[in-house]
Amino acid sequence: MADEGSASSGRGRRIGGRVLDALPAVGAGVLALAVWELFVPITGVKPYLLPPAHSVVAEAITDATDRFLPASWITLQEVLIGFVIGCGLGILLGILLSISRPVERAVMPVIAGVRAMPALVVAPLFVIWYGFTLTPKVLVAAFVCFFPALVNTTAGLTITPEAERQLFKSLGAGPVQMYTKLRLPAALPYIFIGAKNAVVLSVIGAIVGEWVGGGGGIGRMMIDSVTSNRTERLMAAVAYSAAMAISLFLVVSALERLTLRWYFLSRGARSGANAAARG
Amino acid sequence: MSRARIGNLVRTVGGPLLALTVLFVAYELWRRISGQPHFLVPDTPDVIVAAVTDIQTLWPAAWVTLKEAIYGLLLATAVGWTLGVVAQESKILEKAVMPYAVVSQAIPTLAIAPLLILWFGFTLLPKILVAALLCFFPILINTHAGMRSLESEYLDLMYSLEAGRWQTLFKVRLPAAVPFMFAGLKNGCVLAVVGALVAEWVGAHEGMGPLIIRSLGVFKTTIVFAAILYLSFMSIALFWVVSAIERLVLRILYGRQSISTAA
Repeated sequence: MADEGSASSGRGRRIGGRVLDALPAVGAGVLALAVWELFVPITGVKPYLLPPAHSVVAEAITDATDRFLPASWITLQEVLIGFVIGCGLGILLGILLSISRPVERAVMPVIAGVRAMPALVVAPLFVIWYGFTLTPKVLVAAFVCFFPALVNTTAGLTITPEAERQLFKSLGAGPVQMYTKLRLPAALPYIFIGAKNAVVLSVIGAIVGEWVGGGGGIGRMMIDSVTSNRTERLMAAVAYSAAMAISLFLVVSALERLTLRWYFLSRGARSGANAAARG
Repeated sequence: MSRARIGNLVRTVGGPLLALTVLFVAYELWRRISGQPHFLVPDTPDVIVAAVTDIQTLWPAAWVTLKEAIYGLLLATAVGWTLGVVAQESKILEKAVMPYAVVSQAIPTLAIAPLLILWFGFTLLPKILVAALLCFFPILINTHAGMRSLESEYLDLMYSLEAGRWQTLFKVRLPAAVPFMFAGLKNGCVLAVVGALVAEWVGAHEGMGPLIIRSLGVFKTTIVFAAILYLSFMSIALFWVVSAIERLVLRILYGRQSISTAA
């Protein structure tokens, strides 16, 4: 970058390119909304089957403080406690397993097999064990996000690049150094992929727990809206749950960026890790 | 059979079964230590007995759920594979669709189940749609990644040989994408079963979902556990079938030699 002017025009072109890139997606979204909004008056669908888009938005805004936010808060508590427990245990177990090579080899097929198991199945069981309280939803959320956290942690810790491993060995690194300076940092992007996956799953877990197990929360609200044919409330509740999941996803992504930046101080290593995280 | 192939077979067949066994051993340990009452936490032999003796209740329900999951998986595969391939060929479609596919990973798509039940009632259709929706995005994303997985040397080679767009697509891009397409599909097997089951919990008269809820209401926990066994076997079986088809397709495409490396 010798010339200041060409660099800034390059940036301008990049931003222009970004806008141009986003155009089809935004267009598709707007088109879908327009079709939805016009579909109702043109076809004369009963509003309890498909309320027009604006009435869903109106519902989401007018009932926000009375209904949606308190319900979302209940669900958010279940999600957060469940995520911390499930994801924490998953990462911890993944790290413990990876300390010993033979144990790791023995456990790998089991962990891979767990991915073929429908974890949400346990939701009704937790409900009869722990009643219509917060606990079963927290446990469902924890249970469903435990496995992706574990799988990704193990995967990240096993695929340490061989060249780096050799380099560390040749420089006389001990097992502890090897672990804290190479394997763990190399695994971080994978662990965070697992965590991002897990946080969305824990939202799903809490909602399904509420579907099966009653209590308050945004999931319960969806079921109540179905039985009372309040479709605009149902759709608004779905939107709230989606907003919750996206926000949590973004929070974990921000945590990921902070952690990786803190761990990889040099710029080259950071961009390498980002590339690994994307790949 | 070469060693690699046997290893492959053990991994796909043995892994899930081993995982199931480990989970049940952990459960049995927890049951003994916690000392929960029997009607809430049945012991493992009772569950296995129930899975065999109550087959007349369990199998018809399992078949309903399995059908929903299979139809959902087929629907999602048809749409996901097609869209994934077309999105590579049409840049404007790619830019319009793929951002939503990525965002969908951060959204609880399952939450749409009550809406579909409300629209289509207690029939088979909403369950198929939920199952399809749940596994659609992983299939699409994997297919799309597969279509872009080629190193540019191959494309340069095809270009220098004056291969047309269709030739490049069918001879190079698609074959390279096949392992990715199946990876997405294998992911989808579990998701399809979960989707069908959860949609049944929201509203259904028959299938595994209502059976589980009914049995819980009368504290028949052995049936519930047997149902969980059935559901686990269901997704494992789907996974096996897809893996077998994958091996077959890869053998046709790549020949015997490179199967283990390609998979």
